[in-house]
Amino acid sequence: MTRQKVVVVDDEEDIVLYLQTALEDAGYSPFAATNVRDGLKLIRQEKPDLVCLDILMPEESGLSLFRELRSDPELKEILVLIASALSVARELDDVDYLTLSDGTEVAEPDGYLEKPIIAEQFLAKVAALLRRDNANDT
Amino acid sequence: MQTTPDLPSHVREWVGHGLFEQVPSSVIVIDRELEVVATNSNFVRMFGEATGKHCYEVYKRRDRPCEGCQAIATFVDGVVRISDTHGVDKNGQPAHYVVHIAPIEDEAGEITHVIEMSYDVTESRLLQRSYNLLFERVPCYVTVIDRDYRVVRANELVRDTFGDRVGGHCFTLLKQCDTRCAECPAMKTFADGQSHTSRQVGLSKSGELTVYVVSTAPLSSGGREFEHVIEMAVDVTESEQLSEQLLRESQFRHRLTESAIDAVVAADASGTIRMFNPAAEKMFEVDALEVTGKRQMSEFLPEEFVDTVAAGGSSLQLPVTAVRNTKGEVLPVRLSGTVLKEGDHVLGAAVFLQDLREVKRLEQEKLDNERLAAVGSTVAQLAHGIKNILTGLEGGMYVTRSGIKKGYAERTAKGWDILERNVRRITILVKGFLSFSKGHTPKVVPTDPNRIAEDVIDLFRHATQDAGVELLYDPEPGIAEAQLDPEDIRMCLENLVANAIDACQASNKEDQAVTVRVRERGGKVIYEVSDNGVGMDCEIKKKVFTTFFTTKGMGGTGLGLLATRKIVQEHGGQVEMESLPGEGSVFRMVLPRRSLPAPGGKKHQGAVTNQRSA
Repeated sequence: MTRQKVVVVDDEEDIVLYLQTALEDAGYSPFAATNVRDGLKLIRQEKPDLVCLDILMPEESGLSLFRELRSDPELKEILVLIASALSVARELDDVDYLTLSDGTEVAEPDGYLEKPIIAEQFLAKVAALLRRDNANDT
Repeated sequence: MQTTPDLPSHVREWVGHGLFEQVPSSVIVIDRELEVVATNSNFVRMFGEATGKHCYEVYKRRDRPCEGCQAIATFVDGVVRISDTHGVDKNGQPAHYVVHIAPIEDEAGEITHVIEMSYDVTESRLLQRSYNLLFERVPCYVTVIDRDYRVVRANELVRDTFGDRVGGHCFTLLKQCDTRCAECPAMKTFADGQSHTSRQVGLSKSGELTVYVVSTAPLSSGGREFEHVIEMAVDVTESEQLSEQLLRESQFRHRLTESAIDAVVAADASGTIRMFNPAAEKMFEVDALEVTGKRQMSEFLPEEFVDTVAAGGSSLQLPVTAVRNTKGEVLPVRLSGTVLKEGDHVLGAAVFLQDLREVKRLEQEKLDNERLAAVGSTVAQLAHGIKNILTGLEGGMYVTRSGIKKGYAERTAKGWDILERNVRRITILVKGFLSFSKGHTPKVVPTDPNRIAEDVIDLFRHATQDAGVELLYDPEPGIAEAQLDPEDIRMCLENLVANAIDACQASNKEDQAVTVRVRERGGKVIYEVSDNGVGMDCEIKKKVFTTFFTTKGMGGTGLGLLATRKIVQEHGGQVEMESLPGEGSVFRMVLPRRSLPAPGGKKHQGAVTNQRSA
């Protein structure tokens, strides 16, 4: 069985290294980028099963990458796990990131994880998402 | 008296010796051939020797009788004539005289001679012409009016302005109205024979409101009775407007000084205080009435200024000086003084004093507010920073554990690095946040400015070597000790150097360099940190001093520059920055010596509310 691909996009190299290591230990095939532009290129290239995405990044927000993925027919099915310091309930709800500039609505992210990220919780979340996805496929 | 030898006895009698000589006229007697037979000495003085000559030769220097000769007419009809005529005096100068011509008859009643008595009116005619010229050309409206208030004469200005209005009523001229004015000075003059002056509002020819000052005086021919009044009117509209403007401006200036926040003190040439505005009253805690005209400027103002005035200087600016108020308190002030002069003559001196306690208080208040706002609104952002660092710590632990478990030494070392980095980060964050959120008075001690820079260079030497960035140190020898908080300033310089190194590393340049300079320029100690790193565009430049702004992702707290600026401001200085995208950045901490806090923080007493806790 081929190992499932996961792309991590986070501007902080320490976190990238951390999540890559954890994913590798759990038997996934991890890839990483430290900004939105590189991340999108990597995703187009690798067609991963799941993208773990940070939001607060200096050059461009992770939300713009999220919308890019969701509005691209080839990429819209990729699972997206948001892993951010932003509190999902209090801070992310205030932002209407699901509406595109042309007014169309995109599907919500598949999962949220609020930093600090504990390895076990992270891997459990990733596993749950991928399992559910597999179940849907079959 | 000079006479011809054969002067007939009746003529001799007629002229009578004494009277002939004494009358204040030039007198000659001529016979029917118009030959002068007798002259008095007045005549000789005026026209020269004349006896034996013809009258026309004497008066007019002619060689034949004048046309329409009045004397000949008198010979014919015996009528006494008076004639106003011109001639030439003995010096050849034009003479203007009035001649009285009377017949002299013999016993038979025949007119044998004529006596001519001339009065020289040259002078009085000259005077008359001068007066006339004055009347015509004086730059005000002059009219002569009769008891019917009709204009009988008007000067050139009246004619030029209103046209020839002789015969019209005076009130139709300057006032352009149909009835006599209520307050008519001419009427008063006609009533009491005295001069009167009044201010009258009339209309100009174009219908604009015009203000005149009108003077009237009786025009008599010497006696008490008079039929005319001379009226002189001056258009004072412009000068009234000017004086009104002057008044308004003076009131404006008065109010300005009265309501000025700065104390204004002005003295006359003797040094006696002439102006002491409310702000000065407040500053010196004394009533202006007790000061103005009574006290000397030297009692209130700093010696430097008094000396400047005494030495003939023209102005003095003292950014920081002190005055002592009447309660004996010494107040820090900014002084701007001017010596008022007209040519070399000193008229007095004026001084503006700005109470620096208030300025310092406001500056501190602004700083406090900025800090409170930043702290209050960014607790959430601080939490983000902490969450990221916690993730880093969590990650460091995981990677280390994973390395140990699998026996991957390299992974273990990486995990340990992550742990170290994030522990350091949280230390910096907490230190930065504390120093920013707490107000404190710098604990200043005499410090060698170069020494601080040396410490920072030492601290970063290894880090820069590892990072491949060249760290250059360019001190200026001989900078005197300054009142600095060495810990605070070191932290600021560390911040700037760390930023510069980061900026270099973010660029792809080959020769990355950070230069630390220490300089003293114009009484200011300057720390300059320059790099040839990525530089900043306008957007970033605008945001670098805002809380939690960082371009470094999780690598920065966003507090460094803000904390640096705060500390520099607490030292009375400023942080300056220059930057070009792709070229690099220069950050400067500029610390003017005179603004540095005094030891123990007493200089800015009352300005700082929160003391640093031990």
